[in-house]
Amino acid sequence: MNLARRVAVIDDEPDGRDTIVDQLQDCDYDAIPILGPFGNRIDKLIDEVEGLDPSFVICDQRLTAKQYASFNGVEVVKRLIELKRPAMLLTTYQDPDRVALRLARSQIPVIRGRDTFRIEDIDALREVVQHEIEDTPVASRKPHRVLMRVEAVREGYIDIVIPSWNPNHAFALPVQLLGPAVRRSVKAGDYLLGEVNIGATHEDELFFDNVDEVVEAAGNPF
Amino acid sequence: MELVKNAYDADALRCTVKLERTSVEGGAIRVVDDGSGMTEADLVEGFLVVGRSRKAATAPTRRLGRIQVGDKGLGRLSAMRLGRKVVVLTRPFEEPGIELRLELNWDKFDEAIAVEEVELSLVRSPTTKGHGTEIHIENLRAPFPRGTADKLARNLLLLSDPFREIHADSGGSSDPGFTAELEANEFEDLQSKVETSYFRDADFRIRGTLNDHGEGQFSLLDWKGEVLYSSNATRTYEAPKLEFDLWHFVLDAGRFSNKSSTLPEVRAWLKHIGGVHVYQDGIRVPAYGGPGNDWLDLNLLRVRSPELRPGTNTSIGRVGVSNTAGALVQKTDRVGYLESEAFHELRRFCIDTLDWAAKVRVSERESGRRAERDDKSKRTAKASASLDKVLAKTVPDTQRKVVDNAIERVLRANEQETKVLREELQLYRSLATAGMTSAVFAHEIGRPLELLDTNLGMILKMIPEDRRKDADRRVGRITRQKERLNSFISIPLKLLAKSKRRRGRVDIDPCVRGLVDLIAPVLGHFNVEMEVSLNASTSAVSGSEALIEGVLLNLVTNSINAFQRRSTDVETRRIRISTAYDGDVLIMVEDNAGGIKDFDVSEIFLPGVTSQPDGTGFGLTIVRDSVSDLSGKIDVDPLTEFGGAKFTIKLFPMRALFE
Repeated sequence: MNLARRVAVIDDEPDGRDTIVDQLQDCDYDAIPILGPFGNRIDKLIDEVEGLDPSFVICDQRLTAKQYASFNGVEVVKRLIELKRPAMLLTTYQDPDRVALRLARSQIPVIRGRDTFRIEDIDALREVVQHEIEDTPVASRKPHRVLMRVEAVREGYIDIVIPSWNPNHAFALPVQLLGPAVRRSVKAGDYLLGEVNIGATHEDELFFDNVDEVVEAAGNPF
Repeated sequence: MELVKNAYDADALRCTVKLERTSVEGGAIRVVDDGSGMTEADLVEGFLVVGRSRKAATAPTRRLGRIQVGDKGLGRLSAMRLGRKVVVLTRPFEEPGIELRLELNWDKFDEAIAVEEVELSLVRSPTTKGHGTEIHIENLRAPFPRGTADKLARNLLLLSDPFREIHADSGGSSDPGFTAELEANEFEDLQSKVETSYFRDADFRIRGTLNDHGEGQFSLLDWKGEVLYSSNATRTYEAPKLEFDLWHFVLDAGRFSNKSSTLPEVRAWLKHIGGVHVYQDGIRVPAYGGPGNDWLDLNLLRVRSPELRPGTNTSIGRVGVSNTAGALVQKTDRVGYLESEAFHELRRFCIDTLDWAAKVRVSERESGRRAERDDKSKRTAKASASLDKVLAKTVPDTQRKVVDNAIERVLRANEQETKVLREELQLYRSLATAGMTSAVFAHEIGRPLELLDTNLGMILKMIPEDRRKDADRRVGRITRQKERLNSFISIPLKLLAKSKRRRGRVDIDPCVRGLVDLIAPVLGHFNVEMEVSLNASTSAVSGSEALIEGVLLNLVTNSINAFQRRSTDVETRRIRISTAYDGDVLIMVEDNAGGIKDFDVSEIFLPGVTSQPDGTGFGLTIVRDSVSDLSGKIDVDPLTEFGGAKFTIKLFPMRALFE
């Protein structure tokens, strides 16, 4: 079997898992379902995937409902990327997940909602991940140090606008993404400096790194 | 109408208009009065001569000194021409026992070349009837349409000041008054409208009087005619002496419940004769107050405050003016007064009266509202004063400070509780909306699911035999997901069943069993094994099934969430629901999800406390409130031997009530 076309599929829901496997096989991929359960042993899951040496891994975000695992897909994909194993995360993109996923966005090159995921895109998605693993990210994943305007400070989140990305769109940023010093002093009207992949087209693809400088509101030229 | 005016001018007290078969051709109109009648000279030299009415317009009438209102004969002539034949019977006041009969046959006049050719025969005969005049217009040329009869009824009613009865006190005049009546079998309903009046059912009467010196006085009277408010005008008016009265009806069904008339009656009556009519020396001056004639701009002013201002449809009024000095001049077409300074001043005075009344009513309403507010704070003050009195009597001075502080604390706690209750109410409202919405959606999903099934079956038939196996496998997934949807969506529908919200006896064991069956698919989806052990036998509690189900459902949901926590890893997920009876009815819900670790047990029932990032934190709050609604108690053991938290609900058994 062609290893370059081997794809591992991680999903706790048997029907969901088998659907993707069938889809992949219809496109001549060597699709291998990773069967649980794993409980809280994430290492066991990682080992099993690594043992298959797949060219790509598709992992569902929610793995807990049917006792497949007690951890989430985002942790699995993070670990695999660290191991330089190309992997992507599949989600149903429900609102509560959205902000939680933003936390991990810089370490996860590809997140796709089930509704927009197409098997035909797999090679292109794998390419994006591969570039990132080789530290030559594609334009939409390349970080740039930019200014962000703080619109509001709420509990656990701040609302920001990134003028260089889209001056008309505000969205929530978990405070965990802010450097400790910034987290303490940030207030509405401030500008923050940090690294953002402003080449991304959708809000859900944005990641934030090193948000560690505050440009005080007073005397601000903008 | 002209003939009726003639009767007035003849000092009649009563004038009757009879309509006989007037809705068809050939009917008759009879105008009968008890006036002074006409002598032969009157008839020949006055009545029969057009343009030479014997009335000299400004001279008062012979007996009662009335200001004459009839015209110069043209109106009379055209009235009499309505029929082909007219018979005039008149019994002069000056010649008692004598009746003069004059018959005019118009056809003869029409045939004649000159009017003089027709000989008029005047017949004198003895009579026992009193003085007066009868005019019989017979063999009508055209039927009298309903609209015309309507108008006639209205004009007859209004001609002779229908407000007079209410003005009995304004006497002083030697004129006993004038009444016009309509007698028409064909128009009985009209008659009743003409005869009935509803002044007694007015809510307010606004009154303005102007004396000979132009000094005015405004007053507002209640329905009994008692003066509520009164005030003098701030300026004088260059208008003749007058009386302005306006009866204002608040056409609101509620206000009519204790009146003698009904709202539709009064509404119809006002529609028919409403408006402000002008009476000069007891006889109406058209067209003031006629249909569409809002000469005081009532409706315009009413727009500003519809509740407090009268309009033409909600009021009826009259201006009684004495024109002996001739300050007001009627137009030559006899429709209204010339717009002279005197008339403008008259109008101004009426409008000022209405303005004054509106102001009074606005301030009356405001003071009513203030009184209500004052009353409330007075009641509070009274209650607090009586508390003070009791305390002063029963509590020694030395203890007073302590008691006062305690009371203060109670009051503050009460306020706090009210605030919390209000917030909770908002919370429950929003949750109720979400629940009802989900049930509506669930209902709507049934049909699409059924269509899925049918069409899948049709697709399967199209698949060739050699691919059948693969296809079945894939279709099987769809079917399974569909079934899952089916079982999930039925839950909100069943939970919201109306019968479950009814308060009454709830048998505990069947209720618990029912809920477990309902949520079995959910438990299956989350790989949860449910153990049920029901030992409450026939125990029942007073409450509603919905409340108890809500408690259980929230506790089970809580457990399912706990199973999915990062730190939870159990071989088999288990939830155990058991019931027992030990004098109280007990319901226990426990799981093996590791127990309550992240929170203090005392916190878990507070709204908003949750370990789930996307949790609402309301589940256990609802549990606590529901148990309290059932007059029960709830206890929590954060970790039991079973492997997780255990909730124990104690409810007061219904049976105990009868023991």
